Amino acid sequence: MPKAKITRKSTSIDMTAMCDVSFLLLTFFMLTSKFKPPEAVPVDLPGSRSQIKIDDMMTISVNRDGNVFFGMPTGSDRAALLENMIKFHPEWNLSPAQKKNFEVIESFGFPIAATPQVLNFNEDQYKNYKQPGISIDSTKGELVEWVRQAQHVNPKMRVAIKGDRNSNVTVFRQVIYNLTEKLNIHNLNLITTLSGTSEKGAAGK
Amino acid sequence: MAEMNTSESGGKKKHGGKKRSKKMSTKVDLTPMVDLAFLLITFFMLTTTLNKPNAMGLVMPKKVEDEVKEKVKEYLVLNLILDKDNQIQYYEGMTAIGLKTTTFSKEKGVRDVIYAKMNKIRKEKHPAEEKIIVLIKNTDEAKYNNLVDILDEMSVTGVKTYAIQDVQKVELQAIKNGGSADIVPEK
Repeated sequence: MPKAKITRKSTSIDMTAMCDVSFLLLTFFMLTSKFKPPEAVPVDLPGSRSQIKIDDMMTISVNRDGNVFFGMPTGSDRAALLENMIKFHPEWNLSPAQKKNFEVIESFGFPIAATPQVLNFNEDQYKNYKQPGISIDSTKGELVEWVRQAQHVNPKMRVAIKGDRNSNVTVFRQVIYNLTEKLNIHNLNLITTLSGTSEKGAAGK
Repeated sequence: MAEMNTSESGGKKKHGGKKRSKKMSTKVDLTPMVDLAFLLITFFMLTTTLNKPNAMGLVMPKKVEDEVKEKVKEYLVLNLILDKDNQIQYYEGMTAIGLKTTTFSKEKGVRDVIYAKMNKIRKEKHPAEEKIIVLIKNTDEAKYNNLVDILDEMSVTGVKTYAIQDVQKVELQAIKNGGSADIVPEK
C-alpha cells in the first residue's frame, strides 16, 4: 500500500485577480474624475455648516472688490450660451476661433459690448486683461441677459452665488434683486466652504 | 553552520548540508500592489466627492400683491441689522427703539439673542404655532460673510421664518444716534 499522501494546501492566495480588479477600478475613477479647473476669479468663500452638495449650476461670482462674474460649468454649455447671445448680437461676427476661445473661459466678467474684442485675445493678453465685471445695474444690467440666455441652454440648471467673504452685502443684494425681480429665480444657492465655526469662535474670544 | 541561511527556513533542516540548486519562484507576491491600488482608489473616491462645492439654500419670496400681504404680529419680530466690523444691531418689534449691539461670537452673541427672544415668546404663552420671525437687514458697511453667518445661525437656531429686507431710514438713524430714533417707521 502506498503511503497516504497529505496534500498540503498553500496558504498564499493568488493576488493577481484582485490586483486586476483594483487597478481596473483605479483606472475607472481616475478617468471619470474631473480635474478642478483653475479658479478664474479668486474668491475667498465664507464658511457655513450647510452640507448640501450641488452639481449642475451656473455660478455668479462676486470678488472682493464687488465685481461680478458669470460662469457655466461645461464647455458645451458655454458654447450654447454664446450661440444664444449671438442671436441677439449679430453685429459681433465671431469667427470659429473666437467661439473656441469663449468655450475655454470658465467664468468671465467683461461688458457685453467688449465680447468680440476680448475673444480676440490670446492666452497672455487674456490673463493680463483686468475684467471690469458684469454690470448689475437695475435698469440695464447685463447679468440679467447672461443668466436669461444660460437658462435657455439648460432650464434645470441651478443658480449659485459665490461671494467673497469680504465683499459688500449691498452688491450681493443687488445681484439677488436682479435674479428675483427680473428673472423670477427664487431658489438660490450660496456656495460656502464647510464650517467656519472655529474661525467664528476665535473671533468671539 | 556559520553561513547565513536566508532562503530556507528552519523546518527544512533535514536536507542537511546538501547543496541544492535554488529554484526561484516565478510568482511575485502581489499583496502590496493590491494594497497600493486600493489606497489610490480610496483616495480618488474621497477626493472626487469632496470636491463638489458646499452650498447653502436660499429661497427668496415671490412678490405678492399688497392685499395678500400678511400682517405679522409685532411681538414675534426680531430685527437684526448687520453693521460694520461684524457687529449686529438688534431690536424687537417694529419700532426702532432701544437698539442693542451684539456680535457673532458663540457665547453671548446673536445666537443667545435669538434664543432669548424664543424663550420670551414661549413664556408669554402665545399659541404654540406662533414662532419667532427674524428680519435680516444690513447697512452698507456689512460684509457678505456676515450675511452667510446669520443665515447659518438661522439654521442652527431652527428659525423657520426669516426674511432679508432693505434697511429702513429710521433704523439707520437709530444706529447713528447710538440706540434710538423715537419715530414709528413708515410702512
